[in-house]
Amino acid sequence: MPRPKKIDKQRKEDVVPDLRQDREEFLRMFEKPTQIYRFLRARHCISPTFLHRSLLYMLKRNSRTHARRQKFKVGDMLEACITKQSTDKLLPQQQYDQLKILVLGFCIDPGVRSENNVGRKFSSLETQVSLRKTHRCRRKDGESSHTEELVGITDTPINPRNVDAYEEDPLYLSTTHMYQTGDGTSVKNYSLVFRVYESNDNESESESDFSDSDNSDNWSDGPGGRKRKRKEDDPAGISLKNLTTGTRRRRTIHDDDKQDDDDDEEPVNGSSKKFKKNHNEKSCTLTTNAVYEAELVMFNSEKQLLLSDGEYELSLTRTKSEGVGRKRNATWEALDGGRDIELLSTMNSAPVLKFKLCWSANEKPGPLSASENGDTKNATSDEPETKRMRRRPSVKTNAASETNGDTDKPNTLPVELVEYRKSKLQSATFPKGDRDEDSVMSEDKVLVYYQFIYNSETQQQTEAREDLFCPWCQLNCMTLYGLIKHLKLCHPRFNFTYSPQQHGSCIEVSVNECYDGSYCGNPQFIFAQPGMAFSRRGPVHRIEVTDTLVYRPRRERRCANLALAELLEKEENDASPTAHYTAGHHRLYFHSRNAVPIRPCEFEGDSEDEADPDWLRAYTKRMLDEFTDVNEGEKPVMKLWNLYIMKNWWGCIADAQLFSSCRTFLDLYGPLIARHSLRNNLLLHFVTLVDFGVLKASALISLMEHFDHVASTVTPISPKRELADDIAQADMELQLLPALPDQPRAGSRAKRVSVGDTKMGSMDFYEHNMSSQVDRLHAIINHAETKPQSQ
Amino acid sequence: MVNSLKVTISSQQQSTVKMSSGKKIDWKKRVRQEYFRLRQHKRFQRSDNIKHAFTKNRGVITERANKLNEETKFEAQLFEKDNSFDDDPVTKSCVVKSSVHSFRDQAVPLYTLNSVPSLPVCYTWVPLQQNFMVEDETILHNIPYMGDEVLDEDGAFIEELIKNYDGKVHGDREGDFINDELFLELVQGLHEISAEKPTRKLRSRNGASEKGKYTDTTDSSADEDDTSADTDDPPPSSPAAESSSQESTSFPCDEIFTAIADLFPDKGTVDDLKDKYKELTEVLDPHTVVPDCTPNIDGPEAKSVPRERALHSFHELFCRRCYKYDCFQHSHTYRPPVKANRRKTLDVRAPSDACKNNCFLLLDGAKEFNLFHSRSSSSRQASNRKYRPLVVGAAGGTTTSGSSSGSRPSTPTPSESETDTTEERDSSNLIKLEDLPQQLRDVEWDGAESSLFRVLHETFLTNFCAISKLLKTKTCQEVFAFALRESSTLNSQPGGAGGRLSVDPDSLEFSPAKKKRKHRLWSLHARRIQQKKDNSSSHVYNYQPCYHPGQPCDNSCQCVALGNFCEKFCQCPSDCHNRFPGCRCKAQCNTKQCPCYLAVRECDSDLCTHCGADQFGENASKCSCKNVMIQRGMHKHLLLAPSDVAGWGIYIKEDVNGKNEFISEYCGEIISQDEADRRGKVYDKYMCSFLFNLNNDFVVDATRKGNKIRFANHSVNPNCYAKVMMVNGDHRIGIFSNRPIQAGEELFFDYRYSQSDAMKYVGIEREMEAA
Repeated sequence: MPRPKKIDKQRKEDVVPDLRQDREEFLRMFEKPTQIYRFLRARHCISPTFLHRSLLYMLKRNSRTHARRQKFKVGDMLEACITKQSTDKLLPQQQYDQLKILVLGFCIDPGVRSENNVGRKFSSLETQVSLRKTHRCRRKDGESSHTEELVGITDTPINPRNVDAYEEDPLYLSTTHMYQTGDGTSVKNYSLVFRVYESNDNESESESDFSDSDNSDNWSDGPGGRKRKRKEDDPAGISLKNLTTGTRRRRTIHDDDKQDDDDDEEPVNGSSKKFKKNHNEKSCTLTTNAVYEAELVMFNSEKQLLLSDGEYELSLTRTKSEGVGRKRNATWEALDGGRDIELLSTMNSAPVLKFKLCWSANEKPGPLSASENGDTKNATSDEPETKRMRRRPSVKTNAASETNGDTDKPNTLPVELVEYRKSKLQSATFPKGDRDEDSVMSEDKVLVYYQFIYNSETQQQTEAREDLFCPWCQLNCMTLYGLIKHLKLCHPRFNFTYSPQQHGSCIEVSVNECYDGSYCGNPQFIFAQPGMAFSRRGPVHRIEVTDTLVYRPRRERRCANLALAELLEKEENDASPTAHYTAGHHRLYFHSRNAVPIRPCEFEGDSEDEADPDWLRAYTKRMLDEFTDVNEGEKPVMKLWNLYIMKNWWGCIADAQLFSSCRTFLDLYGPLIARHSLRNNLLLHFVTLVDFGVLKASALISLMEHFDHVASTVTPISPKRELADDIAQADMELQLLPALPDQPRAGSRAKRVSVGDTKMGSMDFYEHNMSSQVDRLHAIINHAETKPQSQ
Repeated sequence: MVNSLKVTISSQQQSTVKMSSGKKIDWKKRVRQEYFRLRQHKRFQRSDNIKHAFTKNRGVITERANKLNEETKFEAQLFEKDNSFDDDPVTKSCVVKSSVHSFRDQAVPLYTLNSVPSLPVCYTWVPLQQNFMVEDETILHNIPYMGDEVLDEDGAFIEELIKNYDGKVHGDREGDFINDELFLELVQGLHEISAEKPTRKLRSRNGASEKGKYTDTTDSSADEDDTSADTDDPPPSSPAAESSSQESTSFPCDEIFTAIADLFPDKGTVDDLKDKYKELTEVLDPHTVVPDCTPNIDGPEAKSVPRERALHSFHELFCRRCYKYDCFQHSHTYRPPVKANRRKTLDVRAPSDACKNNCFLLLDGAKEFNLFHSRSSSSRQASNRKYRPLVVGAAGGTTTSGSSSGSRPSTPTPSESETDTTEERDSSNLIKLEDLPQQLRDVEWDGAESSLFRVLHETFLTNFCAISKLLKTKTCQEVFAFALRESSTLNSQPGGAGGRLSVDPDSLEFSPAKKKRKHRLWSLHARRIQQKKDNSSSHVYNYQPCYHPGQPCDNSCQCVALGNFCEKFCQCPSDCHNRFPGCRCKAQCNTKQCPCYLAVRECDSDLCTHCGADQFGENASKCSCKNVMIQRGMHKHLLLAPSDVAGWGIYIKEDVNGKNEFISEYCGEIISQDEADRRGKVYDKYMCSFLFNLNNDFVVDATRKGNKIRFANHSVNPNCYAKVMMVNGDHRIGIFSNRPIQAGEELFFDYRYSQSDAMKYVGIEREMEAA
C-alpha cells in the first residue's frame, strides 16, 4: 500500500515532531466509520437495498427516459420476445465460419498461486486449444464418447502485464462443418477445450516475489498489473484505503456486473438477445502433463451457437493427475438466495485463462457485433447467467480493458471502476448515446477539496479530488449537487459542510458525534438465523415494523436545477422529522415464561393469559386426590367441576350466571359423567349449590332433566380405571404435572375434612394421618421380616 | 391390658436375656443402632423416591417435548426474514486451506451474524391469573444464593434468616430428630429384635406368642381385633413370617421405651411414649381405615346415611366465593352453608296437580297432606323448614316440632309451637304410613336411594314428584311412602330438638323485605359510605364472611368491627344493615357518583343491576359498567421486553385512550404479613421485590407466582397507578392508567416506596443497568 501523500497540513505550531501522532489521530477518528461504509458499499453491491439511479439527486445516473413507458403495452413484451426468438433462429447461420482464438494470458490468482506451487514455476506456459466433439449415444446409459481435434497450441504468458502485446498469435478454427447437420454424424455438441501445459524453462523463478507482494503491494504486480491511473485521482480513496487495513476483500466482478445491470441497464431493452452459455468444465481425460484444463461449449445440441465475440476469462481447474478420488472431496456449499457462491468463488481462487474470441469470415464482422452494435451493454447484461466465465465486452478502448484486468485483484475492486469504464465506454463508443455523457465530461474538471477535521476541530487534512466520486462508495455521483447530497444522506456518520471555493468546492468532513448507530431494523431479524430463512412455507405473519421511513419534506416541485445554494444554508432550517411516529415499533418482545422471542405468528394472541395454566390444573386435581376421606365418586365430579370453572372462570363471576354455567358443564362433561354413572354424585353436587344458595331448586330440576337428556345417548360403562384417564382427556390438553410420590397431605387440610363434625379432636386427625400410612408400614414390616430370614 | 401384656413380655424378655448370654443387652445402644439403621433406610428410600420421580419427570418432559415438536412441525413459522435480506450479503468468503497439498481449499461464504443483545436476568416464575393463597412457611426451604461474595462477607444475614424461621431449615434431619413414623418403625424394629431372641434361643416362640395372644384376647377386644385383623391380612408367604407378624403385634417391652426416652429426652417420658405407641398402632388397623369416608353414592356399597353425611364432602370443600371445590384462595374460611341462604333458592312449591297416572297425589289423603304442608310452610316461610317435612303424620298429640335432624338444632319459637298445636288438629287425621297400600310400603330402598331421598327431601320438601324425578328409580308414590316411613322412624326416636330456645335466629330474617325500607336503607348507605370515606383510616382489613347465628351484625360482628361491608357470602340475613346494597348507576360507574366506585369496590353482579354489571355472555355488550374490569379479567395485552430503565419491563400492546383505564390485575401469592416480613428480608437483599401490600392482613407476592404486570417498573413519574379494590369479597390489586398511553410504551407505576427504599431499589438498578 502506498503511503498516502501527506496532504497539506495546516497546523499552528507543532509542525514537524508528531506527524505520526497526527496520523494516528486522524486514523482513530475516521477509521471506523470508513470501514463501516466500505462494508456497506460491498454489501450494497451484492444486494442493493435501493438503486442510486432512482434517487432524485442522482437523476443524472438514470440513463433511460421514461418516454417508452408511456407507450408501453403488455403486448409489446410478447412481441419483443417473439422477434427475438425469430432473430435468434436466424443468427447462428454459418456466415461466420472462422473463429479466431487469441489467448491473452494465464492469470493465477495470488492466493492460489502461493498455494499451488505450479504456477509460480513457469513464466510462460503453452496453451493447447482443441475441439471436442461429443457424440450422441445410442444407449441410454452409455457414456457419451468424445473425440478431440487439436486446434492449435500457443505460448501463453503468465500474469501478463500488457495484454496487447500478445495479440499477434491467434488460432483459427473453422466451424464450417459444424453446421452441417443432417449428414448422419452423431455429434451432439462441440466444445472448446483449453489446456495449459507447462513448458519447462524458467523453473528457477523464486517465489518470494509473489508471496511478499500479496500482502503489501499486490496491486502493483497483480495479474495484468499496471498501476492504476485512478490511484492518483483518488485522494480520499488512498488515504482511506490505508484505513481499511485488513479488510481487504476479494470480490467478484460478477457482482459488479450485476450491480451494473441493476443500476444502469434497462430491463426495457428487451430486444437484446439471450445467449445461453453452457460452459462446463470436465476433466475426464487425463493428460499426463496437462496442468489446467477447462472446457467451453460452442454449440449445444440444438446447434445453437453459444459463443459470441468478446474477451473471455475462463477459470481452469487442475487436471487430476494424482488420482480419481480427489473429485469426491467434500466441498462446502452454501446456498445463498439461489446463487451458487461456490461457483462464484472459483473465479477468484482458480487460475484464469484470458482469451479473446472473434468470429470472422471474409472480413465480415462477427455475428454478434452486428446485433450488439446498438448496445454493447447487452453483452454484460447477460452476465448473471454465467458463473464461471466472464466475458468482456468487445471494447476497443484500452482504458476499459485495463480496468477490467484489474478486477481480479483482491483489494481494489470498486464497483465504480466498472461503472466508470462503462460511462467512458459509452461516451467513446456511442457518442450520440446517453445524455449524461456531456455532464460527465464537463464535471470532470471540477476540483473537490475534502477537509477532514478532527481532534476536536483543531486539525485538518485536506485532500483534493478531481472527480465526483464518493470517496467511500466510489459512486459516481455525476454532479456536485448529487455528490453532496449523497454524502449527506448516505454517510450520516460524518458531517459534511459544503462551501464553494474559487477553483472548485470545499467539503468539510467531520465525524458526527450525534450519530445514533443503534439498530433500527426489524428486531426479529436480529434473532433470525440464516439457516432458518429457507424453511419458510407459505404465507406468514409479519409484525408491523417500519423498515424505511419515507419522509418527504416539502420541496419545490421539480426545481430542476437542484441548486447548490440549497446545500449552503440548509443546516439550520432543516426541520427534521423528529417526531416519534410509533413507540415500541422496533422492540422485540419476549414470552414472559421462558424469555424466548415472540414470533410474528404468535404476536397477536396473548398466550399467557390463560386462567388455567397446566400447573394449576394439575394442582387442583392433586389437591383433591390427596383427601383421604373424599370418596371415589365425589372426587371426579369435583375435579371436573373445578377444571371446568377454571377454564370458564368468566362464566362464574356472579351467582346469577351459575345456572347457565352448569348447563354448559353438563353439555361438556355430561356424557363423561353418565358413562361412569356418577349421576348421584352430580346430583349431590347440584344440591350443594342449592344449599349454598347459588342455584335455585327449580334450576336443579331442569339441570337434572338436561343431564338425563344428555346421558340418554351414552351407555354407562363401569371400569373405574378409565375414569382418571377420561378426566385427563376431558382436560383437553392432557398435560399433567408429574405426580409426586403418594403422600397424604398432612396438617390442617386433612384435619378440616377428616371427620364429619367440625369439632374434631386432634386424636381423630392423628388417626387419619397415620391410617394412610398403613401400607407403608406393612411394607416395612415385611421388609424387616424378610431380612432375618435371609441371614 | 397393657400391664398384663407388659408383664408377659418383659418377663419373657428378661428370661431370654439371662438365658442367652448372661450379660444385659444394652438397649440404649441397640436403640441407637436401630435408629440409625432406620434413618439410613429412610434416606435410601427417599433417594430412591427422588430418583423415581426424576425419571418419571424426564419421561413427562420428553413426551411433552415430542408433542411440542409434532405441533411445531406443522404450524411452524420460523423467524421470517425480510425480502431485502433474503440473500444475506456475503461479503467475504472464508477459505480453509489445508496444509496437505492434495486437498482442495474449502470455502464458504462468510455470513455476518447479528450481534444479539444479552437479556436481563430472569428468574423462573409461574403464571397465574388469580391470586393464590399460600400458607406460611414455617421452615426455611432454601438458603438463597446471592453470589459468593454475599455469602462470604455477610454470613450474619443467613444466620438471621435462619433465626427468623426458628432455626428450622428444610431437610435438616441431623440431630435428635424423630417423628411419629420413625418412632413407630423404631419400636417395631426393636421389638422384632427382642422377640427374635426367644425364638432362637428358647425355641418357645410359639408358646410365647400364643400366650401373648391369649392375654390379648382375654384382656381387650380391641386388641383382639387388631391381632385377628393382622393375621387375616394377606399373609406373608412363609409360616415363620406369619408367626413373626403375629408376634410383632404383641406389645414391646419396657426397655425399648426407656431406652428411647433416654435417647430422645424431648419426646417425653416412658409412659408418654408408650401411650403414643399404642395410639399409633391402634390407628393402623386396616379395616377401620377412613371411618368417616362416606361410601361412594354411585358405588355398589353405598350406604344409607343421613343427609349431612351424604353431602359432607361437598359441603366442606365447596367454596362459595370461587364456586370451586377446595379453592386456592379461601380454603381457610370455608363455612358450611346456612339455611338462611336457602330461602330464596327454594322456589319449588308443593305440586297441586298429579304428575302422572300414579302420582302420590292420587292416593287417599295425600292431597290433604300436601295441602297441609304447603300451607304451613308458606305461612311460616322457610323458618324451621328443616324439620317441617318431618312432622309428617305427627303421631301422638305432643308437639313434635322439636324433632331434630342432623347436627343443627332447630329452635322453634313459642309462636311456632302454637301454630303447631293448632295444626295438630288437622294433622291428626292426615295420612299415615299404615294407610298406604302394601306394595308401596314394601318397596326395597337401597342405600344410595335413601340417602338421596334425605338429601332431596330437605330441598324439595313434599314435592315428591320432583324428588322421584330426580331419583329416577322410584315413582313418586314410592317416594311418598318412604317419606312417611322416614318420618315415623324419626318420630319414634326420643328426644328431638335440643330444647326450645326463646330466640329463633331464623325468625329474625323472617321480616319480609319491603321496598320502602330498602330505599331508606340505601340512602342510609350512601351516607355511611361517605362517612367511612371521611374517617378513612389507611388500614384496610381483609374481609371474611361473618358467621354469628342469631346475632345481628352489630359491633361483635367481625365485618362491622373491621370496617368491611357484609357481602353476599356472609351468613347474616340479606337485609343486614351492614350489607352493601350495590349501586343504581345508569352510567359507567367510573366516577365518584357511583357508590361502588366511591367505596373502592367493583360493582357486584348480583347487586348492581342498573349499570349492567349483571350482563354476561352475549349480553355483555349491554353492560355499560366500567367498574367490573378486574372480576371479568378484561386486562390489556401486555408484552415483555427488556426495560429502558432497569431489567425487564412490561409494554402495552394497544393504545390506552384515557385515564383510569384498567390495565391489568397484579396477581401473586397471598401471604400473611409475617410471611411477607420474612420473605422481604431476602428480597431486600436481592434488591428485587415483588411484594405488594394488599391489606392489613395480607400481602401479594408475585415473586414465585404472578402475571406479567409484575414486570412493571417503579417510576416517580408513572403512567399507571395501583388501586386495591374490593372485588366480590376479595381485595384485588388493579393497575390503572394515569394518562393516555400509546401502544408500545413501557408501563410504570409508583411503588410508593419510602424515600430511602426508592433509592435502594431503583437507584441501584439504574446504576447496574448503566454499568
